[in-house]
Amino acid sequence: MHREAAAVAERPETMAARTVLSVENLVVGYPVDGRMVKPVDGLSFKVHEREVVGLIGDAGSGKSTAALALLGLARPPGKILGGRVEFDGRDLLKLPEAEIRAIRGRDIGIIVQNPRSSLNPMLRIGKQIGYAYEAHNQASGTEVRRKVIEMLRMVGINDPESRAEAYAHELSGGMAQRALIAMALSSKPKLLIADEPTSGLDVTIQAQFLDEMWNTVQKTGSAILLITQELGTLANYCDRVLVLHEGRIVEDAPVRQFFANPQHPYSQQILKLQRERGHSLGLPPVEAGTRPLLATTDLRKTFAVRHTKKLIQAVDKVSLTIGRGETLGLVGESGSGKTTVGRCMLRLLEPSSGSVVFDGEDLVKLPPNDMRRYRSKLQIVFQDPFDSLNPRWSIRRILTEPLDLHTKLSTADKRRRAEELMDLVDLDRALLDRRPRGLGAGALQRINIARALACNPEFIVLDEPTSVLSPRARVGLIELLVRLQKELGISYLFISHDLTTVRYLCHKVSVMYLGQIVETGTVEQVFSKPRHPYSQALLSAHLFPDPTNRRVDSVIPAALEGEIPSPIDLPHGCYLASRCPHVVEACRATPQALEPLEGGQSVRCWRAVAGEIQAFGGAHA
Amino acid sequence: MLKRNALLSAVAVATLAVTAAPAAAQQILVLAEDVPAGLDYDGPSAAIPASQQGMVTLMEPLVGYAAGPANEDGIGMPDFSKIEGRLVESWDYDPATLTWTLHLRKGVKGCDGATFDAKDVAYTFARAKSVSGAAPIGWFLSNVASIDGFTPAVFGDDPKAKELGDEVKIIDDYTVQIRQSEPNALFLPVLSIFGLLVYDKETMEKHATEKDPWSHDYANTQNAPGFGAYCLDKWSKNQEISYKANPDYYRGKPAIDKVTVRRVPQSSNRAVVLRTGQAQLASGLTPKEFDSLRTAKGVAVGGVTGNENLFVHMNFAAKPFDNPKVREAIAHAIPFEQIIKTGYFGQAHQWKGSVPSGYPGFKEAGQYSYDPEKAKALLAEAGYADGKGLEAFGDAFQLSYVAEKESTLGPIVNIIQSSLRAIGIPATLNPIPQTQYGDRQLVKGDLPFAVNDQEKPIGVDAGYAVQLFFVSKDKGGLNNMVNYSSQVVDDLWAKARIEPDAAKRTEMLGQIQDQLAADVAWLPVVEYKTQWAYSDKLKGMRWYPDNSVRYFDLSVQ
Amino acid sequence: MLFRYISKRFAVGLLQLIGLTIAVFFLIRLLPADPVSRLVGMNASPEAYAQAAKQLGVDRPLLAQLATYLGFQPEIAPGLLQGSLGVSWVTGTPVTAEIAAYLPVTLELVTLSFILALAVAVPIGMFGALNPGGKADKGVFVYSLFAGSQPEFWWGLLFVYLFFFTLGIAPAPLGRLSPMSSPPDVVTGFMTIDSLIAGQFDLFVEALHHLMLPVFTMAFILSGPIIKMVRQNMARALQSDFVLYANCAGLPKRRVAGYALRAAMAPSMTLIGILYGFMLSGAVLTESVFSLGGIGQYAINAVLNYDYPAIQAVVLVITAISLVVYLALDLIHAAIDPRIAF
Repeated sequence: MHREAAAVAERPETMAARTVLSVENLVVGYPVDGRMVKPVDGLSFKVHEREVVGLIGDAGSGKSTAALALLGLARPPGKILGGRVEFDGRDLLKLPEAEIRAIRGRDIGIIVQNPRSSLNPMLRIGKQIGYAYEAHNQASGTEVRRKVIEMLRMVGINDPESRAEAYAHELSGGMAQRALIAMALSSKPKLLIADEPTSGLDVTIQAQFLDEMWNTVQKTGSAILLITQELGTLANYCDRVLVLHEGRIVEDAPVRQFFANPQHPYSQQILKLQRERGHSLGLPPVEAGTRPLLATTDLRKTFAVRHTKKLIQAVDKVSLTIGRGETLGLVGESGSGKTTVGRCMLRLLEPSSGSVVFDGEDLVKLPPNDMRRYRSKLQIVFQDPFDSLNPRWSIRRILTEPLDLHTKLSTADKRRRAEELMDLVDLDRALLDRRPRGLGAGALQRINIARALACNPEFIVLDEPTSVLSPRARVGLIELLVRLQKELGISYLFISHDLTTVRYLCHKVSVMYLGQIVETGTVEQVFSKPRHPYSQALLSAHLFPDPTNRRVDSVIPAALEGEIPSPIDLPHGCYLASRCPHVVEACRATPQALEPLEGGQSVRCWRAVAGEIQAFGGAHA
Repeated sequence: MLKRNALLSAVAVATLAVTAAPAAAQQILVLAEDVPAGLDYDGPSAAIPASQQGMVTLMEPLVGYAAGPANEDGIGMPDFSKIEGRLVESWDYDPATLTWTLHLRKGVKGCDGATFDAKDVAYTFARAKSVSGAAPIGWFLSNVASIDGFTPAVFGDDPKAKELGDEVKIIDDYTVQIRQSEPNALFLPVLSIFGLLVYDKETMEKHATEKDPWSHDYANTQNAPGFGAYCLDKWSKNQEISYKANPDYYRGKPAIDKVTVRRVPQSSNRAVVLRTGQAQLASGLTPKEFDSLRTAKGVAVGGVTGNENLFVHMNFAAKPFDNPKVREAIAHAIPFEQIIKTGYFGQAHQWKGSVPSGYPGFKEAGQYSYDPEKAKALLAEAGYADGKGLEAFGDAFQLSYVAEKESTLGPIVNIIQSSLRAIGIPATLNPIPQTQYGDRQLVKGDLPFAVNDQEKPIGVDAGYAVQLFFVSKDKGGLNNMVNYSSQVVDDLWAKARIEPDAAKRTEMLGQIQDQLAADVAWLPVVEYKTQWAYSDKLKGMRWYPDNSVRYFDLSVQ
Repeated sequence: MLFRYISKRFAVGLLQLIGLTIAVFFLIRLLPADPVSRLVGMNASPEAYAQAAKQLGVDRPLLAQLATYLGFQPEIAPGLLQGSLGVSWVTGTPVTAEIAAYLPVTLELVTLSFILALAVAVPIGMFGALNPGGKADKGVFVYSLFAGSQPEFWWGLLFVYLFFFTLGIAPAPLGRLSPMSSPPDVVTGFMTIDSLIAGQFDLFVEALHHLMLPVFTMAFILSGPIIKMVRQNMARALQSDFVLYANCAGLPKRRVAGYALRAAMAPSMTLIGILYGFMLSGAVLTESVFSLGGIGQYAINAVLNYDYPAIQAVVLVITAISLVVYLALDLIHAAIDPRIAF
């Protein structure tokens, strides 16, 4: 990925530039149970030429509603109730249908949160982008096609000619999002509204994408309204920050000022949450020499692909150890196999080979009945709190289910234990008789944890437990996990792609790529001195909320090219070879092994072991 | 609109042409409920009236009834007292040897130049005796007429029994002798029935195969080659059949050159098309439709009291119908006048007998009047005052009828049901499909209570009807659906069947009919008119006992 | 991939048909009447009965009859393996010939009715979805309730009275052609196609003229559910994310409506397929009103007459057609919607 560093070195102050968009008192309402709920209630702000404005707010705060309303649209059954959206001297809300249609797509472009569902599933994307272009430009068929290929290339899609023939469901999330950008920017709009464009994307892809968007916009000279929940995105890409709370803007400040000195209490609250977690807890390492609680050796898992003879190597010779009261973080992107590792450890999936030794006993070799006895000691908390709980059972029933299975307690004792568990996870006991319906994601996840704790486990696998939570709920959950570990001495396998949390919570961390562990070490070692090129890219792609050290302002040497390859046809040599900036011929030919380095760190890259790759200060401190 | 105008102009032109040049070609379009499903009278579709219509149009019988005068509607009636020769010119009978000598007509030509001679007659009888078809109608008629050799033995395993013996002898090209085994008076009447129409031997044998030596397939699917007034032009089963006049027909070329019969399943459609003048003849309409067409312009409705009747069927083998008082009670509970008015719009009269009133040998017997008080008294005498105790026979009082005839029978069975309930009989309605009805009525014989309007004895003779319906099953009763058995009737019939003296025979038949009435063997309700609706320009309609029209009679003015 | 999928469907369909054939064979023999009785109307003597039973072949043991029917005893009679569906017990004609004559009549009627119904119903449904709550939408709502709730033979007879008898613009309900015209040589059995093949353009026009009322009647009935379904699916599609995004991108209204329509048609295909299979025999009432000798009235007559070979054959043929139609629709659905893979 190339970056014209010079062109973006210093951005002029944008205050004096022309106003592109001016919103005054925008109100949008939804009829709910007879009342009118107003997620947008008196929204007012301005966007200037060539400016990147970030809009931040909690989930459900009406950010997407506001974005659509700027175009004069509302997702049914919502309605725009009032206000003024002035663009290019005209009030968009008062324009007749035909005129505002001309403005949409041509003068104002928008990209939305779910790229794949925003593309027409039945048409090839080249055609759709073509239609968007044709809607605003007179052009012949061949010209349109040429333009489409050009746009796809501009947004960084390799091989655009064949990609243009793909359907939406054949694209990865990142690629689909880029197709949307191509559509949105095809007519060179003056304003691009990007509504949480990277939610759901992997970290490295996210970085790639935002960089692309930034670059493209620099070339076309548009302004951007970037809507997001993540402070990292805000800090690294925006010039100005708007805070949306209860339907209106409560703070409007340049980015550095916002991070240094937030005015509104709500802004202060958001920043406080994020800042606190920018470092490690500094947990004391577990005593060396004691027998590890759980150790996997050469764990492998393959899946067969339906209708073919191919195999997917989901987990390839993974060896990990976790001590008592220790937390091991497992990080990686989609297809890394981290979820599969977690499930294999509990034999929720049967490992194809390898061993999982828990407290001296190889779980893989156990017959099913014996394995049941161990189940109470090994628990798991899943990513989606809604799907993990039976919506028809009361909370009490959910919590007592493991007690029924693994203990012989009396009913009274089970009731008492359920109450204890609720206290343990800081939930109101009155919730015990309710059903999960209507409770927030954070509360539901706590119930999941409570259920996992019911039989006093010694080890819990936490599979991305915070990824669907809002930042506020996330923080609460992490605190809880830390406290529980301190009080009860439980070990965790913490699977996540949120590096900030991993850093905060874990003792050790392993980085996985395409089924292999590419680097292992203490949190300090891996985060401060990542040795493997993938870990370096991962860490540098992670956007830390520090506006003084913006990603766009410098050239990152560790960036990865291209997409994550398919796990079916893995190359013979190093799996990262197709993307690595340090690749040489020898890398492609030789399979790489995990080699130990000093201090207990291990890395799977011969060049790193040989010291040929510079260990840089990866994570922003 | 164009088509209708075009057709009307065509008809107009044709009419002008007719008046200008008497020998010009006439065409008619006939709308029927169905068209022939087969043309083989020994085949599976022999019992279907539409198929019989096709057979009588294409083939000719040996003898037929003389034409009588027209009735009040202008429809020609047959004179049942006179049988005249058709393909037969004259005949002699020798009572000593029970042999009939038939002198065949010369110069008779069929379609495609086929010539008629004694060989065709012998072939026809040989085919009937072979009982190689699905339904042995030819054999049945010969058996009923006591032609020698046509006995149930043909159904045995002996192949010789199926071969024609000397009972039918060819004397010369135009003389045939047929021998009976008893002096059975039904011989000549049977020869006029569609089941013994004469085939053209040459054409039939040309289409014979090893598996099918009597050409049943050919007759069922292609043609019935005979010596009738018309030749087959086009035949699409389930759609239409069209005939072209046989120019060499021995009675003269028919006035109507081409007859097209179209299958139009909905009777209301038949009526509506007739009204527009696009068609010239429609049959099988409901009484209501006939009634409303009477006043339509350009349309005439005519009918005859033929052999169509309605009776109530009460099975002697099903309690409590074995109790004569119960039968009499029900006989007095039928509102005859109301049925005639509501069900038939006046085109019927009360049936006072057990055989068609126009048949030779008919005797008026059994006068049941509608008298609900008397009916109740009789029911009480039977031991079921006010119907108490009859619930025990629940199923027996399900009044069955053919479901396909709902449009005509519906009103009638409803009237009967209400009248019966009024005297305490728990009658309910039970429509069942035709085939099921036939199965229960004839094969199983277990239908307890029903309303039947489909018995039309094909042999024009009171004795024939008696043999069919009222003789005990073990004594030769062929369709004794009510399981009636009377020693008196059986003995009388055994004698009358072979009584050579016509007067004595009629006397015995009269006694039989009296007995039938006394026992309420059937409960006769009405004889209703057989009707047609036709263009008022169509002249020459005649009725025949098989209820089929002979297009030869018709002409367009 | 596609070839394999189609072959697999055909193979499964064949198994289904075989199972169905055997099941129907036994099931109809459970009907409460004796098919022989129809032939003994004039003379119910035991000999006549035996003769008739022998002719129909029902005096043989049941399994022997099944074996002959399937074609394992070709010396007695050809069976399914020889491609023969048997001989009708009512007409004596081979059932294959009869079905070949009657089936195209119904296919022609139903296919044309569907084309007309779709041509009318889809735009109306689309219009209703795009302008919800408007006068047109309400009018259509009433119409689709109304059209679907009365039986088609009632409408048929009403139309005959109105258009033929009163107004005189439709021909008499006497069949596919006027009785005075001679039909073209049979190639496909479709009157319209055969007359075009024979080059007799006047017959082609006449055939269309005679099909006018029956097709109109059936299309009238069919359009009710189709309108409702298209409208519903389209309304749902109009609320989807990609339509919202298309609006955001400023695509013209027509194009966006086209997006929604395509998304709405994919699930509608399934209903249309089911309706088509249903109407093959459901057209019998319309066929009866307009004197069209189609497969529906053939089936009903077969059942009422207890014509076992015809009943078996009709079940087989209509099932086979339905299976082919479902396969075709699945393929069309996959062609419209690229998310569906085999």
